[in-house]
Amino acid sequence: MSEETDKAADKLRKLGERLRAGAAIRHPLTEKELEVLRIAVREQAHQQQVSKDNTERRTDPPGRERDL
Amino acid sequence: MPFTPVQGMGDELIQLVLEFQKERDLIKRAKIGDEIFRRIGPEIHLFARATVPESSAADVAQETLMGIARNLHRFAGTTTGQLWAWCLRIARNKASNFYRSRPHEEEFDESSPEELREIAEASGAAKPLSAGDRLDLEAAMTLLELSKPLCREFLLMHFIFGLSYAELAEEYESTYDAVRVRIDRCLEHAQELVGTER
Repeated sequence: MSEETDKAADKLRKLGERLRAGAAIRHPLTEKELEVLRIAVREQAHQQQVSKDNTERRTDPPGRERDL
Repeated sequence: MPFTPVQGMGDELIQLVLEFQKERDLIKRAKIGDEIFRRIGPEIHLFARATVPESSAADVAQETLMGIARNLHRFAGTTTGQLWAWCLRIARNKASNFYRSRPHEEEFDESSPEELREIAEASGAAKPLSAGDRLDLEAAMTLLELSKPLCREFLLMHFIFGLSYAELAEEYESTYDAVRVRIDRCLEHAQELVGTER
């Protein structure tokens, strides 16, 4: 990289720092956004559990007594 | 308050994600999820504003965060850098979906430079901007604006969002050296265009 390109790279890195810091101030997640994401996380965890339960049922050998 | 570069969120963020993936209690998992999204949310919003028009940026950001929320259990990396690469891959896909529905617009060419300037200006609340800072930031913004869309994407991912050459190579199925050379060439070309503008 030439010296000029190095300087351009430094300026871009500075811009990156400023943009990320500015985004944290201007665009924090709202409570509404967080609630939507919580619902998505809960739904995904539920699907994961259902999928796991189905897998366990399928892999149980036939005739085996299961503890209920 | 000192600025924290993306990679300096460091071990904390990846540790939160690993905890999230292990946690079976839904209430505790939700709390960890909140913390993760509070940390990554602003930069996902930033990415949206850097890549799609302002009028659609909030929607693209929210779609990205939903994609992350639904798939975080599948993330298989072990470092914060890998996590960011994965999150930004989801963000790029959502931005691409936006442009797919608008075939007459060129990808990454319709971002909101004025909004980005305002975001950079907002950082002055935490650490005041000197006159020199403003000149440097304006020079960097001009360089990004004049770059061709594919160059702009690489410059954004490397300099603004902090992905390393190695991480970019993995994301774009390329090599470390090819990425490094591409970024150098993009910088040189953009510098030439800035010189021509003057």
